[in-house]
Amino acid sequence: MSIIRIQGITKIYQLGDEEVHALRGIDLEINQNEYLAIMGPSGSGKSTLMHILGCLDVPTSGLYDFEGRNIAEMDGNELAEIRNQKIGFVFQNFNLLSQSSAYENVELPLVYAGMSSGKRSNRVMEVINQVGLTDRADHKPNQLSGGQRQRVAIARAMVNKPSIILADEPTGNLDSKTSYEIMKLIKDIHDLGNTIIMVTHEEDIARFCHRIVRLRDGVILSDTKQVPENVPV
Amino acid sequence: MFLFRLFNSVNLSIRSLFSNLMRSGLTLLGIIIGVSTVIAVISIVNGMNDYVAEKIAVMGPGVFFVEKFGIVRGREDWLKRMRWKNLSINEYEALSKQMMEAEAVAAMLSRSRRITYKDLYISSTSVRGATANYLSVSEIAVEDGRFFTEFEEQRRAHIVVIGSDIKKALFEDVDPIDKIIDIGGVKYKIIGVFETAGSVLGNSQDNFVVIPLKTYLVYYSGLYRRSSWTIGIKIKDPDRMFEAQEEARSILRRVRKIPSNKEDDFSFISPEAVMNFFEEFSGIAFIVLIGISSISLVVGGIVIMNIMLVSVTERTKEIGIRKAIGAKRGDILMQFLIESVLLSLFGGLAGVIAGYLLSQAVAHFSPLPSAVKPWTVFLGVAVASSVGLFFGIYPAWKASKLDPIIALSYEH
Ligand SMILES: Nc1ncnc2c1ncn2[C@@H]1O[C@H](COP(=O)(O)OP(=O)(O)OP(=O)(O)O)[C@@H](O)[C@H]1O
Ligand SMILES: [Mg+2]
Repeated sequence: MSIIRIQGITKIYQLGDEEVHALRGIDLEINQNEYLAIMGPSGSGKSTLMHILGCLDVPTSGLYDFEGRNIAEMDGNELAEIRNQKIGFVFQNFNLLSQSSAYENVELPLVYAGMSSGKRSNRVMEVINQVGLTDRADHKPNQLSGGQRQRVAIARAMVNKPSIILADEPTGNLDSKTSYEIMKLIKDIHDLGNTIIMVTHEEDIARFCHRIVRLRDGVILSDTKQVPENVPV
Repeated sequence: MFLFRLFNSVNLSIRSLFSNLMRSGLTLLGIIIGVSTVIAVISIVNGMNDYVAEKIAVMGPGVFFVEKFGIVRGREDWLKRMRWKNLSINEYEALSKQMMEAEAVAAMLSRSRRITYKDLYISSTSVRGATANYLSVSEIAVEDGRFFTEFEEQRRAHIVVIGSDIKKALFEDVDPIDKIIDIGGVKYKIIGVFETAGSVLGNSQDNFVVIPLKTYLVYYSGLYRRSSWTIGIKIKDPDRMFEAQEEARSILRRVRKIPSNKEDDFSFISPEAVMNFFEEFSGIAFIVLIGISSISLVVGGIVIMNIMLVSVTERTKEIGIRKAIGAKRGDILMQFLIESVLLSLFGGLAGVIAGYLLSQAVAHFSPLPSAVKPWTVFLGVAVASSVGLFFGIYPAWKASKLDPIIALSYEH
């Protein structure tokens, strides 16, 4: 069953007089429990596509159905609700609140979901445990390593049990050993039934995915399935 | 559900306020000054109101006084009244003979003199010569002994009723009744002691003695620079104050031969007149000082708006993150509004405390009284949070409409 279906998506940025065509007509269908890598050279439009898929940005034209609903017909609050309930976003630079502890960062989506604080603490500790940071829950981001920060960010993305996790170069700021640890974590999450879309530069990381979509200059160059390799631990 | 979201927002706001505590404190100065002046002014004016009302009650209902000066409003007024003819026995006799509305007409004169008992003395006491019906125009009662009679006044008796300060100073362990004291070189026998009246704006009202008016005229009135009489009138029906004053006015104008085109050259003092004057005065004080505090509140509000705008800019990335994980516009708006309200609420509370201390200090170091009423605390807090709410709207609105992607890619 397809979760995401986009057709003819374009994105044009206006830079002064100049128009930047970041996406020039993308068609893509993504099914439940797929593990997909988006690859391509710098500037090819990977992040732009991810932002649109994550309902953080709107396309200039084209159709986007998320779980059968047309995104273009939704207002700001409905999009916020989708981001909160259905989508977990993981960024290259973590994007954690620096003043808040790991626990508070992971808790925040539940706060915006309107969950009571009693229920929140169970769920937060559950995912923090899942990413292996139980003993770091009260640490601030600057008291954590890069890998640990990314684990917090992944826990935050998972906490509302979203149907899809979007990760824009989640290992981009990490060394290869830590990258493998993060990839193992993402694979485990995928094994639990989640759909995962990940942007990466590195073939070494993309080999763990089931499907690779390659972009260049805002169009899809290729879309291939493969047998994923196991993450070495 | 709404309350629940509100509670969450308050919680989030408190977290971020405390992480910027230093800056928060400094920005609140305007609010603190504004609220504390509001509280202090209201407390002092209230205190004076209570106090004047209480003192007026001492004048008694249905009593008014005829005086040369009355309530003087400024220097011009004073110079004009200086030229008026003194009130004398003529006016007193006319009023006491002719006034139909009056139950009693009393006259009094006063001078400061030294009072001596054995080797103790008070260097300056108000010596009042009064008619025997003095008590009917004064609210003060005789606590020990008695007042003098009409008969004693007529035969110019050397007897005196003393205020409680005199008793305290000269007769600590002795019963003053029947003791002989010296007032400005003349001997008097004490026949009574007044109850304690308390003090008005820091001046004791109990440092006085009353002797018969005729006795006073013999020893203290002086040949030249005679002083003007004060005439106290107790009216039969307290509801007819206006009519009684009109009657007194026409009698006085006739006695003093004032042409009909000239204004009165004497004054009435009644509880109403004093109260009116005071209310007018405190009204002006109110307006001036409320003006000052409004200015500081507006300045304080603008400072808060500015600091919130800085805060929104500094925290653009945070706002982007919050939006990316599902915060709605309303959530962000609420967070920043609550932050600015809380910020100014702290300022308001600090202002209430400062205002309270200020008015206590004024009450302590000056004769002005002060009464901090509980509702002024609510007022201060309410004023401060409204300022925070009002001046927080624009920054909060700005924060809420940030585009998530632009906010996320913001670097400082
Ligand atoms: N806000 C923006 N305004 C103008 N142009 C933009 C904006 N964001 C992206 N672009 C342009 O759109 C194109 C695609 O950018 P995008 O960030 O999607 O690339 P990317 O594939 O993620 O690259 P990288 O691998 O370097 O992250 C680029 O040419 C970029 O300069
Ligand atoms: Mg990118």
